[in-house]
Amino acid sequence: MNLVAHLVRKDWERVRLPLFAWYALIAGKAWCVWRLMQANDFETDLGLLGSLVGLLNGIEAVAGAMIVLQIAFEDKPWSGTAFASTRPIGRGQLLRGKAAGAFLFLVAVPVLLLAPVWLAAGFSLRDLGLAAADWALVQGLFVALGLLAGAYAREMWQVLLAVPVVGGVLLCCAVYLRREPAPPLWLSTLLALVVVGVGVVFAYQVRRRVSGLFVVVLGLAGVAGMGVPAASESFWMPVWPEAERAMRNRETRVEAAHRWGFIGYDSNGKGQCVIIAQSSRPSYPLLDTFRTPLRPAEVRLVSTDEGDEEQQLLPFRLGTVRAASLSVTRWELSLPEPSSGYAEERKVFMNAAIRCADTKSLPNP
Amino acid sequence: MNIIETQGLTCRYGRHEAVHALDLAIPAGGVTALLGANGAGKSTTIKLLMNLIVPSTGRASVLGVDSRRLGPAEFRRIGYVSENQELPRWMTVGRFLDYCRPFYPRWDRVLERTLLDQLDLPLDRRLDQLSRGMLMKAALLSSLAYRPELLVLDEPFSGLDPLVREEFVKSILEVSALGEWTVLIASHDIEEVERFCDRVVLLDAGRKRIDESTEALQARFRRVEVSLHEEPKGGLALPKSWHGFERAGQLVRFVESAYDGLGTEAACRTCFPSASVVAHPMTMREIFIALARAGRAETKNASAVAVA
Repeated sequence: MNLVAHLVRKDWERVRLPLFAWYALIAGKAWCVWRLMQANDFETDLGLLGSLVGLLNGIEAVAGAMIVLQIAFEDKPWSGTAFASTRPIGRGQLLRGKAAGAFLFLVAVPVLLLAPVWLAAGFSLRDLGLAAADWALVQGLFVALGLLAGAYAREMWQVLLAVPVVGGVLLCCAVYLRREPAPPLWLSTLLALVVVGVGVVFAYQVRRRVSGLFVVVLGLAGVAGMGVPAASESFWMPVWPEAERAMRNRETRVEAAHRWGFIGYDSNGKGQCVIIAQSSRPSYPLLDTFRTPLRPAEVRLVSTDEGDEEQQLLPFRLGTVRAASLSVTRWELSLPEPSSGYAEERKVFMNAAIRCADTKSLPNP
Repeated sequence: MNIIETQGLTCRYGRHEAVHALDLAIPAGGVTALLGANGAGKSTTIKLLMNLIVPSTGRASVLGVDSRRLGPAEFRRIGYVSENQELPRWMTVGRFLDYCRPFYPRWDRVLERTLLDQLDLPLDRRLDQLSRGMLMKAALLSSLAYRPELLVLDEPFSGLDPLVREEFVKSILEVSALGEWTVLIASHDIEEVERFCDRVVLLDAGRKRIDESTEALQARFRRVEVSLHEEPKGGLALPKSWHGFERAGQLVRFVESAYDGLGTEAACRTCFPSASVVAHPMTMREIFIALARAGRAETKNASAVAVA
């Protein structure tokens, strides 16, 4: 058997239990968000659910990196005590074995696992490709970071100590050195991936830990300094064309995976009548230009009555659940100023919304 | 042909010199013991030879290849067992052997079975459930089944209780008979090593003190006891080969490192004209202790001279 495949098989046996748990986490989140896409109830608190799923997303990323760390720790490339150091395993073979295993377990298998979910959610081929590329880029970076940590650290505590310190340094670099406009997130991620990859190759092939660490920290500081797009102005104040387009064109569905659904109407804390709507779409934060607005942006409301003036609605995001390249957001849309009467508002909303939703699900106003 | 050669091999950790200008020439065949107290530089030497650390200066060659260039081709011919080696403890013994097998084209399944029987290893037990002795046996098995030309053992007896140690030594003696391998064993357990080594290299503070066959070493070392019948006249000019000279009443004791029967007796008569001389053979352990003490005394004297 090919020795690289032999190493991959051994690592699979080593980490299969945590990997199954990790796959279950991914599948669970995908199922959760897919179910939400089908739902149009008032009861689900998307704010809370979104926070919970966000936490699980973080756990998933960290757990993925830890699994890769475990794979790397199995056969440390430079250690004087590692079993592989005195066995007939070349450094290149070891690196290929570790990288292939990590890529297969944490990038390829999850993409295959998620592909049916994406297809069921109505992803087009383009969406599917973008989602897979996005997953590969994000998870690839975590895989590379895990390999990097496993290649340079002796023990787990060193990783736990180094991550906040290096993270803090990089954050400082990002704050003090960043330029406007920042490059796209995918470009920064790709550059970071290249820098980390160089560091990993340095550790496995050259076995110069200090020089390798220097290269990595300097490179990452450069990438961070070039600009973390999350800090750019354009990220915080995006346009929001989808909802407006749906309202203007009176669509309830653009594509299967790009939905804009009217759930109903409610009253908010100020006694205003508000529209509750839900949007769902493929989510690939690294590649997609569409971003969820974090500040209220205006949406033009088009009445069904001829001659009525266009009105402006203020969208307020109630919550977003984002997982497995799917995103479901629930909105509250209200007029900037309360109009004279509740009934009048209701009329305006219903006139506007009636074309935007499945009329059968609407209660009688 | 020498299977291991070093020239001026030196390794420094910061200001501390773990191995100093070591020149070694270990011929193929037989068992060579690398002896020394803790911190003498044995394990560092082994790590330098196995390309686990890079020498500060000097060079080493193993199987005719520069140690810094040891790669898969050479490691297929080398077996390495160390007390500190990290084995994949989550594997069972059987899985561990399955894992090792593909790395070695010359893996001998028949020898593997023989060794399994001799070492009495349970195939279905996980390595982390094995005792330390059994674990070392598993490591030994995984390093012997491909019939390596060179077997390197780094402190294999460390942490083993006497019974397990005895079993392990017995195993090594038994498996030694199964193949033609050169064994390099680094240990401070002299009594264990004495039983099967042909050649001894003694390290002290990173420097080579002795490098010769066990027979020659034991032949030239004697613990000499001199019973004085009368006080020697004048100052004593002791030969350099006398170590650990001590006197208790009329009894003088020292270790002769260049024992020569009549020659040694004649040297004693020169210093102590009226005395009876008895020379006792020494075990390797006694020789090692005598040399270690002599080494320390030399270092102390050298430091005193430097300070003065």
